[in-house]
Amino acid sequence: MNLLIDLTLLTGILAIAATSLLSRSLFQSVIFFILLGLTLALGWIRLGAPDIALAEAAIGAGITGVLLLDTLGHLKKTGKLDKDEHRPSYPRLLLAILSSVTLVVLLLWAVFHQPTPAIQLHLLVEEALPDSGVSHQITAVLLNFRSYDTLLEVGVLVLAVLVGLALQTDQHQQDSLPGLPNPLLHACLTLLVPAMLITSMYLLWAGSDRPGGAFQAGAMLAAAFILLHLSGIKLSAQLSHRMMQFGLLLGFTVFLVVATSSVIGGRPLLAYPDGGAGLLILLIELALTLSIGLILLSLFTIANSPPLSSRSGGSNGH
Amino acid sequence: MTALVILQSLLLISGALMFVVGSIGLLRFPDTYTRIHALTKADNVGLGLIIIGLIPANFSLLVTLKLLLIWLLVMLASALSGHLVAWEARAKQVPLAPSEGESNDELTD
Repeated sequence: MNLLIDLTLLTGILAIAATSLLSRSLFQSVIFFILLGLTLALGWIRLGAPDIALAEAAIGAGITGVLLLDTLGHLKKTGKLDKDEHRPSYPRLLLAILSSVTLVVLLLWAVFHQPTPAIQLHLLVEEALPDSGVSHQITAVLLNFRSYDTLLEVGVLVLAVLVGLALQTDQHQQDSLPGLPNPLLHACLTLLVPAMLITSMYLLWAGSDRPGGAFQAGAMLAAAFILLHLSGIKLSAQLSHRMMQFGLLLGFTVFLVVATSSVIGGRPLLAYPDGGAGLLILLIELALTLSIGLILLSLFTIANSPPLSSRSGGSNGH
Repeated sequence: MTALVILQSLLLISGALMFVVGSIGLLRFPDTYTRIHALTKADNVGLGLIIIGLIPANFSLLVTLKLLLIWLLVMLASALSGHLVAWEARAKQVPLAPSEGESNDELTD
C-alpha cells in the first residue's frame, strides 16, 4: 500500500517536472513549477525529512513561485515578453538535454557507488546533541556544529538583496503595483495575517526541538508581508529606507557579532560559550527570521519596480 | 470497531470522489465563473469529508483541533481566492461562456 503511494508520488513528480519543462506557455510552466515544489515536499515527507519538506514548501514552492509569477507579470507589463509561447533553439535544447542526462547519470552513479562512510556522522551528532543547546539534530547541525555554513548562506542572501537594491536606481518608485481594493480581501487579512505571524513564531520556536527554524519562519513572515503588500498595505512605504536597511542586515550582523565575539573571548570562531548556546541560537534565529522575511519581501518589491524606460514619465501618482 | 472503519472508509472515499468531481468540473466547465464554482465547492466538502474521516483514527483532542483548523483555513483561503479570481475576471470583463451549441473560442484560463 505504501509502495503504491510512493510510486504514484514518484510518477506524479516526474510527470509534473516534465510538463513544467515542456510546456509552451511560460505561465503554465511556472504554475507547474509551483506544483512540483508541493509534490516534492510530499516526497520529502515520505522520505522522513520533514525539515526539508517544510523548507521546500515554504521557499521552493511558495516564495520562489511568487517571485516567478511576479517576474512574469513584470515582463508582460513591460512588453519584454513579446509572446507567451517560446520555442528554444535546437542546439540549445540538445545541449540542455545532454547536460541534464549527464547530471542524472552522475547522480545515479554517486548514489549506487556510495562508499561506506568512515565516520558515522549521525552518531557523532547524537553524541554531541546535549551540548548543542537545542534538542533537534537539524537545528543543532545548522546553528551549532556547522554554523559556519549557515553564516555564509545568510551572507549570500544579504549579498543578493544588496545587488538587487543597487540595480534599482530610483527608490521612490519601487512600488508600481497597485493594491487590490477588495473589501473581502481586507476582511480576511485581519484573520490571516495574525495567524501567519503566530505560525511564523511557532516555526521559529519549534525549531529547537522539532522541524522548523529561522528559514521556514522567515519564509512565512515574508509571505505575510507579501500578502499585505499585494493588498495595498506596503511595509516599504511605512518604514523609512534606513529602517529597512537595518532590518535587512540585522540577522547577518547579529550572527557575525556572536561569531566574532567568541574569538575575543579566546575561543575559536563561532564556538558558543558553555551553557549559553541555546539562548544565543534563539537570539540569532530571531534576528535571522526578521531579516529573511524582509529580504524575501525586498526581492519581491524589487521585481515590481518600474522599468528604467518608464521612469522618466513621472508617473509617481500615489 | 469494524462499523467505525466502514464509516471512515465511506467518508474518505466520498471525500476523494468530491475532489475528482471538482477536478472534472475544472476541466470540463466552459468558463472561469463555472470553474470556480466547481473547484471551491467540491474542495471544501471533499476536504471536510476527509478530515471527518480522519478524526476517529487514533483519536486525540489536539490532533482533532489541528485538523479542524486546517479545514477552516483552507475554506477561508479557497473562498477568498475563488472570490478574487471571479472579481478580477469580472473587472477584466472575461465573457461568460455562450450557451448551448455556440463556439466557445474566447475562453480564458
